[in-house]
Amino acid sequence: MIFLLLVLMQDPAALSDQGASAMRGGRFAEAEKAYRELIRLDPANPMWKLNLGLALHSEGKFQEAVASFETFLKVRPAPGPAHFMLGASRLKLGKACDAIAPLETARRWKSSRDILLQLGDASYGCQRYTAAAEAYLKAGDSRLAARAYWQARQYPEASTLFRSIEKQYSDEAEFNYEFGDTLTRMSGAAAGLPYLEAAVRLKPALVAARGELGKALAELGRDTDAIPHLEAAAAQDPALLLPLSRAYRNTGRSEDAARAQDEYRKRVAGN
Amino acid sequence: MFRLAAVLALAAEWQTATLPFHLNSHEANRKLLPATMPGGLAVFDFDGDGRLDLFFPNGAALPGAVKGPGDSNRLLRNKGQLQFEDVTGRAGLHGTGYDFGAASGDYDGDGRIDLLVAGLRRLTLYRNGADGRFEDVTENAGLDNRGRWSIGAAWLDYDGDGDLDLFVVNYVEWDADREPECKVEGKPDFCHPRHYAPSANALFRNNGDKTFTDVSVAAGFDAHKGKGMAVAVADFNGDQRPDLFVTNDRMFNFLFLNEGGKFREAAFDWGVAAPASGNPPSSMGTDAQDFDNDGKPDIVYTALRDETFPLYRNTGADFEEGTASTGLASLARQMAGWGIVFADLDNDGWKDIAVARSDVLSVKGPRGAKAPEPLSWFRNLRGTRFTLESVDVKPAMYRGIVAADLDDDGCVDLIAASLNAPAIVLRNPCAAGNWIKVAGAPVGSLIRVGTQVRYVTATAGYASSYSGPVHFGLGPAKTADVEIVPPRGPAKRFTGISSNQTLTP
Repeated sequence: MIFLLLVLMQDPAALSDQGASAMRGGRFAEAEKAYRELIRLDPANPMWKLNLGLALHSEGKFQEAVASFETFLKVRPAPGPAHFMLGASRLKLGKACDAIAPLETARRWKSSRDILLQLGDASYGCQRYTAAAEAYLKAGDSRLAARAYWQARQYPEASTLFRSIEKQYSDEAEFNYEFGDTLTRMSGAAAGLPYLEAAVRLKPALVAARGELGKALAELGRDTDAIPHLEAAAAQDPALLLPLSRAYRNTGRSEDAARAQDEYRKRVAGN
Repeated sequence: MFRLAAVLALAAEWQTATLPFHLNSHEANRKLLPATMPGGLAVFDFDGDGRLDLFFPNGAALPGAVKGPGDSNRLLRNKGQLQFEDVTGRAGLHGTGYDFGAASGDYDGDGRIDLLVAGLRRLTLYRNGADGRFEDVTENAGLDNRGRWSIGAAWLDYDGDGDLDLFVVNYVEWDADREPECKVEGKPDFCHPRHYAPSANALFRNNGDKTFTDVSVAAGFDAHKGKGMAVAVADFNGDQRPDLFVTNDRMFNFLFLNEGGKFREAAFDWGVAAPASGNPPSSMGTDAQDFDNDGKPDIVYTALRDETFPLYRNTGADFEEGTASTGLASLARQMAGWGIVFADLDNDGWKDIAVARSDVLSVKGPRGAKAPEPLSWFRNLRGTRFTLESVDVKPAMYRGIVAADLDDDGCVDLIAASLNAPAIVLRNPCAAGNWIKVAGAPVGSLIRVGTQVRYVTATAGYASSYSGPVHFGLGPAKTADVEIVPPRGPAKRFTGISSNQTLTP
């Protein structure tokens, strides 16, 4: 009712207050309406586009928010919050690679933890794992940085970070899996085994950890112990059918070995 | 005293020299796949003067694959003292198209080593004439690879008739007009091999009259399409016939066992189709020799980062992967490699592994900063472990590598080609160990020196070839017993041969 009155009165100052109040109160649809009306009344003022973008982003209308921020930035391209919001909206849309450039610009405006974390997420989503790790490190998040280095296959860097936060995260299955996998690749199965075992103990449903644990046990000649883990993980990762086949063969289960190998050849044709 | 120590330290370093050959990959903004693939080489004595010469295939402008100025293949004549003279023009080896690999071998049995060049759309067979000139005899020889993209080749006598047949490694079906546009981190880069259809390898039987017959179908190769990168030849199952191990890029590798004219693909039966992880890696260059001195040829091949350089011990009935147990998995985890060769670089009687490293991605791409890598070699500790040894050479996009004693000092040097850079020679410091070399053993021979064995093959790593004396390190031993088992005829035995000489039976 008040909004309608303000529109009828065509009072930009009052509409602006209304928009700001709605934003503060979490009434984002109402804020959107106010800013759309302000754009109609006062199209020369780019700030309404920025505010509209904020409202749209808060409503989860990321595609429209992106358009609004982009329009604002054509007029006001200097590094600022609009770059941050544009990056954040693009990230929400799953366009991680497209989010990197505005977030990099936003970082030039202000190197805040939020911006660095968003930049880390964008880089991670774009599979630029090293850049992600660097952003997370600058944001002070060693856990995310370690995971990004692990994804980047920079195992020495990942290992150092995992080691530094081991006490803090020793009860987290994913931490143990990632650290165990890192140690296995760097130093062999014996080094990673305790962590992989801990990961599976903490979360038996963590299939990736079971696969790595199975491979590590097989590498150490513990084929009988490896088999249940490889069996559990092979449904999701058919590449594990090959080590499973070898574990069967090494334990005298030649028919199972042949069956697993046949299935492997069918399901893992390469590439 | 200090000065002497400094001199000794300097003398113990590998010394690098550049060669008068620059490999042009012709990479452009549009990432055409061939531009990341060249870099083979051949080491052989083309003029019979006892010194090993060098041949380098070169790229060409893409997509036309027509050589322009500066794209010539190069033949470098060894003048001794690691000095080389460009004799390409006199030899007639410029080439015309985009070439990747080379295979040296005396296919016509006239005592002079000929040359096969593997290229994007054709093979070129050069017959070595008596006057230092090579003649393109491809057409007359009937060598037709049906327009397929060949990376490398191997000379071998698969049918035991005494002449060299030709096995050709074909990569993928490629058409510039259908080259997909691939991106890494949002920027153009070379495409993953999944974007290209596989291709079958080829076998050409030597008819004994300087012509060849394509026997790929009858021999069983046409039925196996892969993305062939390299081939290693050895008698893996001990039946006195040469077998073939072929690496495939992100597909199961092939092990073709020679069953007397026909080949049976047995990579799964023998456990070398894929490494223990089950993930077919980007298998690249390969070599097969006996690294653990048990008398049976083993296999190693390169792959990309996080795929390690898988190493397999031959049990006589199959292969057991030894990548992790020898420490090679951990050492190579952060490396990407192309050419790879077994060679006893420290003359201790155990074959080490030398690798030409680099990534497949563009140096101009988003991951380009990490694409160039140095050369490395892994010291073999009595067949049980490897340690990483450094070579002071700057990172580059290394591709082919061959081990050969270029300066005839009894120590194996390394020759490597890299994209858009001069080829290099690394001179072995030759710090220790006695040695013996065996010259003149035909391809397919088995040479035993004490407990060491070498299968005589002309293939080397990636797209490369070596035809020369076969080297053995002897450690402190002053003498050695040598046995040469040729592919045909009786074995020759020599006892108490003094070390540090080349035996020419």
